[in-house]
Amino acid sequence: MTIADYFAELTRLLAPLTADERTEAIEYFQDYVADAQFSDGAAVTAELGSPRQLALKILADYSIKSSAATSADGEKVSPRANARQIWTIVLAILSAPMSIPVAIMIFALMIALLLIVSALSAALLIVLAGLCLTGLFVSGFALWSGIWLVFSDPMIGISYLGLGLAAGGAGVILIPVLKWAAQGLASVWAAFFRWLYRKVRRQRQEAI
Amino acid sequence: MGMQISAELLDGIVLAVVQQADTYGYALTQQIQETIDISPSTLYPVLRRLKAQGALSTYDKPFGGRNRRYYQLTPLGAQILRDTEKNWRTHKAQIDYFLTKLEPKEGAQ
Repeated sequence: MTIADYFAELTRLLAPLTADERTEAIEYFQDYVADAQFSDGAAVTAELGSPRQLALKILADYSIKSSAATSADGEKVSPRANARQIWTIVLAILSAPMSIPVAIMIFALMIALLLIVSALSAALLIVLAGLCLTGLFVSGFALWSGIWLVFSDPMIGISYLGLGLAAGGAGVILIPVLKWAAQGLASVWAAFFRWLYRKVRRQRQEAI
Repeated sequence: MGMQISAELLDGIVLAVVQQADTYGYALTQQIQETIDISPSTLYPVLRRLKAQGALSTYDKPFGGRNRRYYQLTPLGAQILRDTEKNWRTHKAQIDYFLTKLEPKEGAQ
């Protein structure tokens, strides 16, 4: 890549800026490259980064500044400008040195872990609550039928009553289990969040 | 590399260098890089912001068949530099108190 190619690419990537802003940035870096006496595009890339990296750095500065200026004026920032800014920042992050994409990946993994833990906890609680409710429902139904059957057909009625009492008992036994599981899960959750917090805090300290 | 330099301090550093003598982007970057590890692409937004604030003004001077853009300190820039110096002295004294002045207590191990 020649130096002219580098700046042609940079000009193209700075398209979101106004003509004045673009000219100013291009002139500054052309000045810089001329003073540094770089011989080719590779030398320029070694110093300033690829045209894309440099353009994103310039654009990110503009979009952060312009949104700060508009919100300070109390004007409404258009959703489109916001979208452009978010997109620019995402691209800037992705083009940054490896550490930031890696950090994003770790963050995504943490979110995934969070979802898995919450899904498992919810599933366990729902299954337990379901069993408990089924027991009580079967019990109620069997006892109700049993009471009527006792008069017409005592043996069947008694067996229904027995079934009802057994199901009711099973349901009632499950209530403490449900309570215990909920408490257990709450403490697991708390431990998980403490771990997550420590992890994030440590990474932030390492980053500084 | 060490600690991150805040935008305010970076502004102050650039203003202080320009105060010594009017200078252009490459020379300014080289001079700051002698002491601080900073990328050239970081300094452009700083210069642009200081110019937009009116802390710096620019003029072009012919050099080797082209125009080189020089940066010059404005009265506002000089004022901002003095304020930054003052804030930095206060800040430095506060941090020094904790990091260098506090001694272990008598009898503590």
